[in-house]
Amino acid sequence: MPDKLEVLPGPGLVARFGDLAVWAGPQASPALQAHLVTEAQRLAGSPQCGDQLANSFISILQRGDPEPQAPFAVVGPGANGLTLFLHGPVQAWDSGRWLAPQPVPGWMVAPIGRPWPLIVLPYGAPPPPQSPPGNPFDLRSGTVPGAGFVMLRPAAPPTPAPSASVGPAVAGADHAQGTTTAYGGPGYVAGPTAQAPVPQAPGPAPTSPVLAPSPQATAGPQAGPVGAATGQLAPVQGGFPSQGGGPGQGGGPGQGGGPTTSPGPVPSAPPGPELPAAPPSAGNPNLVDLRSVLPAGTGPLSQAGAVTGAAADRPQVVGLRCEEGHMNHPRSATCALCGRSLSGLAQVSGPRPSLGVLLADDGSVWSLERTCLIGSEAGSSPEARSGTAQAITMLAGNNHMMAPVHCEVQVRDWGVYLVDRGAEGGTSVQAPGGPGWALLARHEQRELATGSHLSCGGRVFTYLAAWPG
Amino acid sequence: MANQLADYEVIGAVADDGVLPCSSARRPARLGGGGTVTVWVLGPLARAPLTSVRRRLEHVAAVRSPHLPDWLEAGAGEWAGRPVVFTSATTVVTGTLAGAQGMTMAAKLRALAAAARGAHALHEAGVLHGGICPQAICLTGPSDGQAVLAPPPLADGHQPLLQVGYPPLGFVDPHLLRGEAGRWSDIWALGATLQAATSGSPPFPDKDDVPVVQALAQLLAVPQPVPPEAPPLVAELARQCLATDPSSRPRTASEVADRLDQAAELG
Repeated sequence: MPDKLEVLPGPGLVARFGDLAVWAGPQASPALQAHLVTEAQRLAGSPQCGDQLANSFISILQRGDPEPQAPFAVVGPGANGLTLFLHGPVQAWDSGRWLAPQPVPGWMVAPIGRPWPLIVLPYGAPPPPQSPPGNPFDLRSGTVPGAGFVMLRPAAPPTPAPSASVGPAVAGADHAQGTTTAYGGPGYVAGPTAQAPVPQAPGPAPTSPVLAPSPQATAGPQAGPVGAATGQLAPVQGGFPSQGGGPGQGGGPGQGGGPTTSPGPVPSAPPGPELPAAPPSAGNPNLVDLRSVLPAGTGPLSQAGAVTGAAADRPQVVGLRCEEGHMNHPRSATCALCGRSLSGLAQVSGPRPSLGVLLADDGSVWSLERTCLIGSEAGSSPEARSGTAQAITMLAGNNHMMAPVHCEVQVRDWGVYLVDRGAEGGTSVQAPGGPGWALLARHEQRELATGSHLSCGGRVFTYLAAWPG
Repeated sequence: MANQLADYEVIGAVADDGVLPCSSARRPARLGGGGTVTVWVLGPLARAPLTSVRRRLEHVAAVRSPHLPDWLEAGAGEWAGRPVVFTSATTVVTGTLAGAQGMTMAAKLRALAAAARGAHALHEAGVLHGGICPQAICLTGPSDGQAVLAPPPLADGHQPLLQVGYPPLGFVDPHLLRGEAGRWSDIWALGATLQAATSGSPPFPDKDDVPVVQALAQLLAVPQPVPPEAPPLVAELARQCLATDPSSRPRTASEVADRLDQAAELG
């Protein structure tokens, strides 16, 4: 079932063929617009058409950018969910952050999973208003005018709709009762049952780079079409291939006049030379080809001055706050972070720091900032998926069974508790200096002291507190 | 030393001190053959299948920089009789800062500056290295300080915070153990590595000789180390990188690199 696609009114062009959607701003030349539509239509049936179309543009841009000020975007299936390609002054909201080429203009490509909604619109444009419940507009196929688009969770039940290869937007009925998508983005909420938590709203336009410009991204020796992340390239004469695309169809430089540099081949069907060949590790689960991976769509790490900001969304506890604002356990004599004295300070409420670590028998060390679930599929649990608990995925030891969620280490106030989840084999604990293992009763919980060991599924962990007991 | 890792034929050890085994190997025919590549053993394949670390390695490999290896692939194989995760690159590594003999101070500083630039490239792409130590500064030239930053540990400084062994605990930012990982953690490790490279001994030499839990406890209340006898610029930089309060450290690894290059110029 294809995603619902709502076109935002205004100048520009929106096209959709299958799961592949493109947008071009009015600054884009007719040749570029035609190329976008043609290539989208040509590649739409391919399983990774998003990657393919992005790669074809990257191969052109690496030879020079014919239209650096032309905003356009490509969204379509890739190796890792959807692939998003942005060029020029354009921005996209992927239900978590704003993405935009940096510097602007430039270009970027990123895997974005499967966000609902996904918004594409001109750089600096305000976010679109809330979609009314039951909004029937849904571009299923074709090319229409538009200043951007919003891609939403598919409506259910499916409604057969006629398709148009080129023509006005298809106003397919979008059965609103199935549209439950919501997000905490820039003010746009679709559907009548918006209920998702609101993440940090980034504002209407990106102010910091999501993918920082890296000269090596375009100049490095391995910077092939897929490995490139962002770029800003000197304009060249020539242009994007005119409608029809690649050399096999007589395409070539667009309307830009005599080229000094060829804009490069854009393959006609079937997609070919500049697309990544099947890696030598393909099909071997023990090998991961690293030569042509797409960059992750994460932003730069924050700088040292922002260290205290990371604690903003942690649970509140009562403790001692030093002169520098570092939160400490109420029984601490000096600040664990900066060493300043805490004597004489009144207890205040503040974000809880990590209570210590769990040291696993494989040498991995896990911070106890919140409740941990230990199991063979801990990451699939509702608590982990919702973010209320962190998953420690562990395979069973020899001759043992590890349940998907075998036990949990709860973090409450300033205390750490081991809780059995009733799995076969049970959960054991050994107090520091204790005589041996004690098996917890089903669903029993026990507070852990620093140095305690716990065991489940044949694996052993040691709890080390960061604070006085 | 094992002579085979997956289908890589190992030619010789570049570094084999137990922290981050690194070897030169023949490029498998599967990958075109006919050349020398470098392979690193990142750690045991005990906790979960390769798929669980795939995302981490792909994030790292997507960052292109002349100060990072030119990646080939990652994989699972057997090394010295145990299943491990390894990664390979076409970059030819000749040694590490840990085992460097006869390097001038200026060359050491330049190598560390190159590694700092590699770390900065990762930071700008949202990736924490989390394993900076002398064994992770991979020399790529004869003796003039050309270097790349080794592949990072399997743990990424978030969850799990680290994988004991690589890096050695003496190079782990105490704040990382508190769940406050950030680029300041790598900057702390750059400071510790700088101090180790210039003084010949790490700032916390006893951390690897005590039980892990004790070491962690000590690191949670780490004292301010005293910089060794070193050029004033270097000593001051090490002191700042190792500041207990992250906001007192240099703000970026790129800044560290610039100051290292400046110190190298001054000899």
